[in-house]
Amino acid sequence: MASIAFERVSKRFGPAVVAAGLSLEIADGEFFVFLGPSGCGKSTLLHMLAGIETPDEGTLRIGGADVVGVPPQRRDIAMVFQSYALYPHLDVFENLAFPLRNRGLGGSALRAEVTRMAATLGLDGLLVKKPGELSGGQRQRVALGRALIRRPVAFLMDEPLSNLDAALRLEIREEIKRVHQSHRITTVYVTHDQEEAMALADRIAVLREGRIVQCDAPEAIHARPADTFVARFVGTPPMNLVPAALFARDAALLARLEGRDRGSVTVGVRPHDLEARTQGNGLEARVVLLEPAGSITWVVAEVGGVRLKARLAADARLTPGGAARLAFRAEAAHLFDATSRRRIER
Amino acid sequence: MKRLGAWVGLAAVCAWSLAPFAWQLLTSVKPAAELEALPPLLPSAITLAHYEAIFAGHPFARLLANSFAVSALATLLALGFGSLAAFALAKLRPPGRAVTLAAVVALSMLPPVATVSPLFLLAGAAGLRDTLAGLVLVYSGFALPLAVWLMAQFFRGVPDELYIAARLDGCSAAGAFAKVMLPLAAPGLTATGLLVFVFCWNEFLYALTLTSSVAARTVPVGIALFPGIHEVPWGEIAAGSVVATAPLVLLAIAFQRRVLAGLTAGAVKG
Repeated sequence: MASIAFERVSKRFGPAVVAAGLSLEIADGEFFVFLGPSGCGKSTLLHMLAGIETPDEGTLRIGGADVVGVPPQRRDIAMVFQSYALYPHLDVFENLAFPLRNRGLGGSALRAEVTRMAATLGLDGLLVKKPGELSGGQRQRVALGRALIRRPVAFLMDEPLSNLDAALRLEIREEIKRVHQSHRITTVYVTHDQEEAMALADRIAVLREGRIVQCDAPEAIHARPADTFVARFVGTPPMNLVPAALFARDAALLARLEGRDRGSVTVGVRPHDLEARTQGNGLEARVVLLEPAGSITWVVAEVGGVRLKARLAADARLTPGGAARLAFRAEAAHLFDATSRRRIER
Repeated sequence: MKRLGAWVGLAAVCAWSLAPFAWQLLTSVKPAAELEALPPLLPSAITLAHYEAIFAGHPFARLLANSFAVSALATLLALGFGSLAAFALAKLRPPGRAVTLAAVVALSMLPPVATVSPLFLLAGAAGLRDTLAGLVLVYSGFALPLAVWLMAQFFRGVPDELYIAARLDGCSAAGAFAKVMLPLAAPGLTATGLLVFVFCWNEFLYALTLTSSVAARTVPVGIALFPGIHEVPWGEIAAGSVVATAPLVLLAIAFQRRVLAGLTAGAVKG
């Protein structure tokens, strides 16, 4: 059990900036998610915590102690990988036993630990199998078990769900959350999937080009995105971003914009908050296409050359090519500065 | 039709490769009188006289023992140092890795003739001329670039995550090498070992230059020294060749499956 801290950590690989003066504190027992687009160097942050990479500048602390220069095997950290990274030449029992054997545990004590862990994760019948004989879900369970078995001070998880198919992904996601809730081991989790981040995290840090754009609880990030990048990145479907000039006749919104140059504001509306109706108040739009999604049907529509996604109103009948009205509550709109792209609070 | 073509092609390749060996085999059992005559292609009677002659008239057993000792030791040395170097180059990402690998390849391009005189002088100065140790050193040195190059490919085939996982699971770099990397690269190691062994077993130029007696002489040199002043004993040369080839064939058969696995070691998947 340990807290983790990044103190002004910088790291670059040639032209790619992985971390630019990154500072961050992760509390003991917290489930912390780094969320960012693919290829933004999130994995390298984990590798630095693991001791596989060294920061160019700055300090990393685990449990308060500076760990820069401490070799991986002495950091007492466990990692779960996208590719499972099970030892293919060892059977499930030996995979689970591997970290314990390295600590000098053996004999019946070792067997007891492995059996107990296998039971917790539903791997009892699989102990004599080689990783090659397991399904993806079973492999990731073994990987979780191998990480959990020695009760590390922190867990690092590098997109552990990305190689699984949709159904298994939900199952293992629940498993990860359950493991965290029952053991409360500090977990640093990296993903590009905002849904995963929302479902698992106590706190999320949204990363872009080596900087933390926003760091907050999932609900707070969703409710008050710090800039247009976060606004688009968090939430599905992504938020609509529209120049405020389009809303020349929306009195409630204009009231919120009071005192600002309308040309300098971008208005963000989540598709869930934007309702497409047949008639009434709202933006006049042309329907481009309809996208049924079970309980909701999404409407892609065009207003003054801008594409928007809206939720089809329950009683509305719209056809592609036809006209529609897009309405939203002014309070549901997010306001951003059109130049700096930062959120405007008012 | 396509299958037939494949079989014909395979048969042609086999015939092409095996014909010289078959010729040696035939010659080695032909009575002395028929050795320089054609026909008959096949011997009228099978004789083991040539085989008896190489073991009775020459210290052939000693040569075999020398060859075996030199090849085995050189292979072990090349594999030992080579696997460590290859692992470091593939997984530890030392600075200048590309340059090092390029230098390794460039070294293996060096023609042996270019180094034979300096090595002769060096071996003399170090008191290693005409010793097994001298040959072992030279052979392992020459096999090392090939071994490093080949094994670096095999180690690179093992996913990085496995190395990282081993380190986090409590292994030092050396521990991760021994417990995870080495077992996973084992097929590649076997394949490399076989290649190095064959290279050492067949090597002629250095063995000829650096040895002067049966104390360290190897089989290829021994066979080359069979001819006397007045005659070339074709039967004995053939018998010697067959005896020298047999261990390699046996090794290849014994390790065939592992070598094949080694050639596809890139497919190792976590």
